[in-house]
Amino acid sequence: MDPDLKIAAFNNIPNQEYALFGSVLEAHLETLLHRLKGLCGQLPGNAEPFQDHYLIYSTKSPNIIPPVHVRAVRSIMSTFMPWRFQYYGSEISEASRMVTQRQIIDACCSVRLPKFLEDGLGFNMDYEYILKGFTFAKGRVRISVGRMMKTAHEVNMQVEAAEALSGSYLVEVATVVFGGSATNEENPEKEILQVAELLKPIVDLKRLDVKR
Amino acid sequence: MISWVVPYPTPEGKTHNQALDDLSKLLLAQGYEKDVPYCVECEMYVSLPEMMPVQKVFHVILDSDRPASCFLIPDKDQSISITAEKSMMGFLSKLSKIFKTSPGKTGNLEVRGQTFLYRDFCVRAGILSYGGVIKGVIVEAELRSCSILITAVELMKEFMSTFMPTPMDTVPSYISSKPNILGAMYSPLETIHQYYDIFASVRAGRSLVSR
Repeated sequence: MDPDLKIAAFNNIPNQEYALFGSVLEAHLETLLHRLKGLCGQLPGNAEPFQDHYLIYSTKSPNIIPPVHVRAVRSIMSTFMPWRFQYYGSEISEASRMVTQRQIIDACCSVRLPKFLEDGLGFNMDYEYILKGFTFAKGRVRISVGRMMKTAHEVNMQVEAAEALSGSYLVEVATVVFGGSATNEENPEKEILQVAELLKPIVDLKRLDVKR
Repeated sequence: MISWVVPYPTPEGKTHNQALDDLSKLLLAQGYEKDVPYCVECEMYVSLPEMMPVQKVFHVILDSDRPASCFLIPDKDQSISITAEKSMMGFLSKLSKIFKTSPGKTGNLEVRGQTFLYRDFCVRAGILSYGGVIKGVIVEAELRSCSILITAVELMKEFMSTFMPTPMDTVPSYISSKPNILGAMYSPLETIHQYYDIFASVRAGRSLVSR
């Protein structure tokens, strides 16, 4: 076996994200969670609480147009999990599209990721927040309901969620598939829309509109 | 598993390829079995001055034995190197306007060779080339049954002395310079760092013989 082939085999990674976004007031959270529990069943991984710390970085040099934005994410609840590096490409903007489709690069990394982004690549941290909530999975579709919280730093580098930034919860319905529609027999767009339809009266999910 | 990576001295009057052949024959005679080929390659990324006021340089190392990972090592502060999933390479190609790969140099640094296996012991012997020019022979000795370096230092020395032309009485310089990794769980990044040190000295034009 040629070692080059072995390396090449790992270059094909799902990288197209199809997503819809919405929000729900805290008062209606229970109704939404109840509906999701009913839809997604009792399998492990459903209604799983999560608390993720997001650090948003961008290139600060004025010569880099447009600036590159990336984010580093880590779970606060399970500290043995690796950090995740995330980069979103620009949205494929067609007015007729029903869901957001964009490239995503998601890579697990070792713990020194933030330091590497700052000192190794020359990125600057813009802001940080904690997303606290619940995730569900329905087939390949991942549904997360979470609330943005401010971060409170403690002495020993631990981060905790402080007060909430708003009274509503973010709802995200997304799936990540291989790029190049030729290999896609299934229709990720349809799957996302089906889930959105099932949640309709409680939350109205929309495509992310960058222009707004 | 723990690994030591050292240059294998080529005897005078022989080419590097002949030295590698001799080493392979010796390993096979000792009872090792030939396993898959391997390849470790290193690419340098340099930021363009008009894009970044302070120049940033980092190196990406790929190892065919760890095909789902890539290793990113900054030029200046190597303590912040990271291991990342292979998908990170897709992001690096997005930065092509900011970082150029190995400017002014032709080709990459790479080690290509063969893996030899004997129970818990694994030896990778390969040719190091820089831009297509052969620079020397590199051996990586891997002990697969141990994860804490300090417990196996003497065993590693003895293991390496079985195929090195001179007895291995010192530890590789990277390991002796980082006493804090001795008692910790050994991570593949430490192996890659040892390769990186060798690559860095080749880039700087130093000879490979010293350990």
